[in-house]
Amino acid sequence: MIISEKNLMRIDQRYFGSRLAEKLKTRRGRRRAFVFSVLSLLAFGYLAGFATWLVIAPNTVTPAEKFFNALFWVMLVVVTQLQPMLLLSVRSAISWPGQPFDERQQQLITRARSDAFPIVIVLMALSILAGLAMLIATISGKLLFSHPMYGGVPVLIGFSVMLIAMAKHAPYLLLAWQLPDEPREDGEMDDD
Amino acid sequence: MTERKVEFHNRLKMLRVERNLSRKQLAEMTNIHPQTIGYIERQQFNPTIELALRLSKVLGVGLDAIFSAEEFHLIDNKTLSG
Repeated sequence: MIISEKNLMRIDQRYFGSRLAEKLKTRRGRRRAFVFSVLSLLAFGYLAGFATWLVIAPNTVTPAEKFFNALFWVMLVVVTQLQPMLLLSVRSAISWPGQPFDERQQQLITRARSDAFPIVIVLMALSILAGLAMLIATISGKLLFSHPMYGGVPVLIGFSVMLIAMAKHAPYLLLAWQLPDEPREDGEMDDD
Repeated sequence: MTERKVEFHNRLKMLRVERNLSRKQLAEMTNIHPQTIGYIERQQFNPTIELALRLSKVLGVGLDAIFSAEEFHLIDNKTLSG
């Protein structure tokens, strides 16, 4: 996840000391954020697929199409929450403006990237296989659409975007799942 | 060859509190993230020798006064009197 210092500062200004930021300091809160992030990444694929479909077949007329159109906007709102939530979940492990980036954080990031590598490979391979399967199924006539462009291309794009987005976020998702409860920030002298 | 994991113990928290330092202050003095101090105190992170030396310098005690491979025991009056 490549993100500018300006965006991190913006997240800090908006969420510093907020209830959300406090909740995400606990393992339980982070694991909830993990689930939300995975769902958001699935939504991300849906957005990409549906946007493609809208470009190809812009006139939504049936009730189902209107429903999917409305769902698109709901998903868009959900997805905008993904990045701040995931970044806040792993805040103590990543480089943040104005904060030192020390050996513990470097170790965590390195380990998360290394642990995520096999997952990334599998997700990338899946996106290639999905493309091939879709191509074969369409050519052999096993996948029927009123026009192959209407169904096949949006599904393929949506699926690939979802898998690639998951691969990109994999180290941070792993960190969000694995990090223990944060020690309370002080002030305090004798806590825990 | 299997790697044998050594369990480290530390009394960083005790030494920090003795000096009336908050985690944030100690973190600033050693140029690390405040949470890292917390994780070391909870023995969820073992620092490198370089960071351990920095902590020992800031706290003004030897390394063996902060870190040990064996558990630290409370010094009671009986031990002190010999």
